[in-house]
Formats: sequence, structure tokens, C-alpha cells
Amino acid sequence: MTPTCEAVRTYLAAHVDGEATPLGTEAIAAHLEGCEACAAAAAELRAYREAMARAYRPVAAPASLARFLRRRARGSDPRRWIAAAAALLLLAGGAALLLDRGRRGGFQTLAEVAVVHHDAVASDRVPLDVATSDPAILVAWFAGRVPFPIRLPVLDSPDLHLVGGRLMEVAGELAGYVAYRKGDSVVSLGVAPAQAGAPPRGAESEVFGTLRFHLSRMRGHNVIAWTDRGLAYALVSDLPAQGRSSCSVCHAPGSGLRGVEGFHR
Amino acid sequence: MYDLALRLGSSRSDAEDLVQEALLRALASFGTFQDTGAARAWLFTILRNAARNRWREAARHPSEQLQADAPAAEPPGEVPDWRSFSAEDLEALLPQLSPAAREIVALRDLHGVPYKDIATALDCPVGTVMSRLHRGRSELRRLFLARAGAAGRRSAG
Repeated sequence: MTPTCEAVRTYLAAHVDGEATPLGTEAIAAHLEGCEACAAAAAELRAYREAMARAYRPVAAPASLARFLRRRARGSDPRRWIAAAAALLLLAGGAALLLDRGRRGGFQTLAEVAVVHHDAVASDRVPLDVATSDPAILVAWFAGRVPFPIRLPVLDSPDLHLVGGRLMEVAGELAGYVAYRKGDSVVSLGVAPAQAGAPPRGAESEVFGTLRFHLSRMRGHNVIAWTDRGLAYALVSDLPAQGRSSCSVCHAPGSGLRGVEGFHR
Repeated sequence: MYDLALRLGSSRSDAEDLVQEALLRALASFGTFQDTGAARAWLFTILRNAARNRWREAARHPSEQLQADAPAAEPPGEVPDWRSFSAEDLEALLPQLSPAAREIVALRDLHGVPYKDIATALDCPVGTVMSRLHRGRSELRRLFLARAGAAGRRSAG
């Protein structure tokens, strides 16, 4: 039995916002399939979210504020400074500090930057700029913010859920960071123009169909990097990444994706 | 954070002061927060309270209170074309929202703050976040319908 229209309407916005509701995702989805009026209301809420994500242009913090923070940083207890920096990052919606480190030449490749962002997001030290489970909303949000069209790879294994995204900077250019959740762990995907995707040193490579995947370990995480049609991708996770076994994490039997063996020649 | 301060209705220089003040207070008491979610909610609260105090110091706007309490009457059947909603629409309409609506729309729809963190920041139950968000979005929807209607009439006339 699906819940009543009244119950669904009460929680519809929360459902569309990706929040947990007492009715449960499946019950609401089942109701929407059979109820045209509620489905139309859900469609408008999604259109609204997409419109806001597209229209919103964050106002950058002025340089004077950055100077203020740097002044405070000097001569204070480094632990406090790290905490304040984390707070700023939490609230600045992405901006300054990690990226600043990238600009100073610390991190140059997509995989390196994606790993740093993976750590920060997985430990809740930085927020996502946009929280959505809808790939179309995320792609629309990136449009106009990064100087290249972002295409998300098809990673729709049933237990890998899109959570949202944020901006990051790779070798001086803006790039996309995409977060997924698989069970309790975060899986991160960096997306940048192909030239940023130099494979990590010491990477082991695997050919899947027409694509070559580079597998490596960085800062304790497993990284799979590849390029496809002009874009470089780096997938960061704590899931096993040993040759084919890393691929079978998502391409497991029953995942709905092509089996690992289908790629291997 | 700076962006949020602006959205909450501060001028640019006020926003900068607010963020500095919030961060200074954060520096003074950091170390007591193990949970970054709690820290985030707390920083929002500082910003929000500071922004509210500034509104109180400024001239009062009785109409804003009326607007905030007005029932969210939605003209039946009329659905805005959200595909045409632009950055200009957002910039024009956000300042027209009541403070309560602007606050919740900025937190949730611009900054993507989860309901439970908004509930902490606003010190209210999650259920109240949901109803305020509904009212806030309805307000924005109503204003957008009126603006789109006016633009339509201008281009037709």
C-alpha cells in the first residue's frame, strides 16, 4: 500500500531534497508512479532545484577578508589556525585554502587534487557546494562554473549513490569534484580536461574495452584514473583496487553494469 | 560564509565585519568542537544573529513582518516556468523575500545545508524547517510568477 497524497505532500520536498523521510524513499517513489498530481508536484520541485542551482552565483569573499585571515594565521597556535581554516572552508562553500595550496604548486594532477578533496569531504571538513542525487542537476550546476562541459561516467550501480559536488582547482584551472556514497564510505570522482589527467607515478594499468585505467594508491586511498573523450577522471575510494578486483567493485554481477570480463580482451 | 552573510541581507562591508566577527569568536573557542557539523551550525547561528541585530538597529520594516506571517496563498493551477529562471531573477527576487524566507532559501537552496544542520542553526525542530522552507519557496514562487507575468505583459505590449 502506498502512502496517501496528503502524507506524500508533507514529505515531498524533503524527498526531492534527498533527505530521509518517515515514509521512506521507496514508498514515496511507488506513490509517485501511480499518482499524476503528486508526480507533477515532484517534477516542479525538481525544476525549482535545478533552476536555483543554475541561477546561483556565489559572491567571492573580498581580498581584504583573505588578508585578515592570513594575518590571524601568523603567530597563532597552528591547531587553532587549522580549525579556523576548516571552519572557513566549511562556510566559504569551496573557495580558498585547499585551492590555494594547489596554486602554490603542491598538487598538480587531477588524481592528487581529487585525493585531497576526497579526504576533506569524507571527514566532513569541507562541505559540498551542491548537494543532489540527481546527475542532471549536478551537470547543470557545473555548467558555467567550470570551463569545459562535464560528463559523468555511468556508475549507476544500485548501491553507489550520487551525493553532490564541489569545485576544485587542478593546475590553475577549475575542475569538478563529485561525491558518491557506497554504504558508509565516500567514493570521489574528479573530472578535468584530459591534459590534467597525467597518470599517477607507479600506476598499474588495465585496459577495459577502449579505455586504459591506471590504478594506484595515494595517501592511503585507491585511485583509478582514466581519460575518455577529452576528459580525465580520477576515482578515489577505500574500496579494494587491485587490478580487475577494483573494477568488479562496481561492475559486480547483478550491478546492472557490464561484467568485468566483458571489458577484458 | 561571506556569500551567506550577504544573502542574509547585509551590505558588503557589514558582511565582511560579520564574517570576521564570527571567525574571531570561532578562533576563541575552537577546540571545544569535535563535530564539524555542530561547528558549522554554530557559525551559521552567529552570522544569523549578528545579521538580525543589524536589521533591528536599522529602521524597522513593519511590512516585512506582515509578509512573513501571511499565509502562502498559491494561485491554483499556475506553474512557473522554472527553466526560464535566471541569475538576474534570483538577484532581483531574493531581496524581496521576507527575512524568514530569505534565510531558509539561502541556507537550503543556495548553500545546500542539510535540514538537520538548519534545524540546529535556527534552533527549531526539523519539522519546522520543512514548513518554513515550504513557505519560503512558496513566497519565491509567487514573486517569480508575478515577475514572469509582468515581463510577459511588457513584451506583449
